Amino acid sequence: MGFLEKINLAALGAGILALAWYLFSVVPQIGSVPVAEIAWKWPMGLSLGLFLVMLIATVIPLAMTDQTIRDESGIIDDERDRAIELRGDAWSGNVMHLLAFLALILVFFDAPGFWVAQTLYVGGMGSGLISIAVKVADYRRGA
Amino acid sequence: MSFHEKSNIAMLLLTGGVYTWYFASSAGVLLGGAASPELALVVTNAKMLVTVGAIIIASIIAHIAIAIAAPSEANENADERDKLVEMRGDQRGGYVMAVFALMGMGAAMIAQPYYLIANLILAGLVASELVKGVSKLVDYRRGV
Repeated sequence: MGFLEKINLAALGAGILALAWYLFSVVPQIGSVPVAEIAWKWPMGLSLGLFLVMLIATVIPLAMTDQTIRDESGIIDDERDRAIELRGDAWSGNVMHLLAFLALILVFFDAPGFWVAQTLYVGGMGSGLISIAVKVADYRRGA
Repeated sequence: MSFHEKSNIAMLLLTGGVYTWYFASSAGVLLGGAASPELALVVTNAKMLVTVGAIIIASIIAHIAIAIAAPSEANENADERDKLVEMRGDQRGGYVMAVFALMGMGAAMIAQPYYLIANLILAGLVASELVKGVSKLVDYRRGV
């Protein structure tokens, strides 16, 4: 398994954990308290911070131990890695566009700010996870 | 020049032109506080609808004109190069959209007026489309 594939797997794990923690903190409040009183701002900030910390904490040991980085050539990505990266990011870009459009429609119809922020955050994290999942699938399946 | 390249140029010009008008004519409302937040939302919402309608109608007309000018090219399927150019554009546009989505989320977090959030998201969609269009234009001209 190449270095970039390991990084993608680490990002996938960190993203799923951070998003799951956020959803477990916020979703149970929906319906039980008025939308305006749902505590979502600090869990959102914390979830983002948690994702970054987990990613950094995983990537540093990977980078320290991975042998490909220590190769004399110093090249960590090849043509296939770049093609996989491009395909994953293109998927993510399209999903992000769709969800931003959905958020715009919500604002247009005067939906509470809570739902607009959720669409952007869950959509942003979701599109990132889709991007990584496409990359991991391409690595495993062959691209 | 292929049908896909001409289509990209048409969409780039249309998006650039229509949304330059939109943001230039809404600058007073968006930046100067020329109207109350409620009125600003109503005004910009109405303009947004007009711009979306204008883009749809103008793009249909533009694509019909491109197809009439070169009928043989209109039925061409996207080849490997077209797909690569498209993906590179989607990738770059996606990065821009992600930055604006983060800004929109931040604006919602600090309870900014709705018209500002709506226009931040719209600006993101427009900016990402323009980046995507320019990326495709450059890739088609320079080669990938």
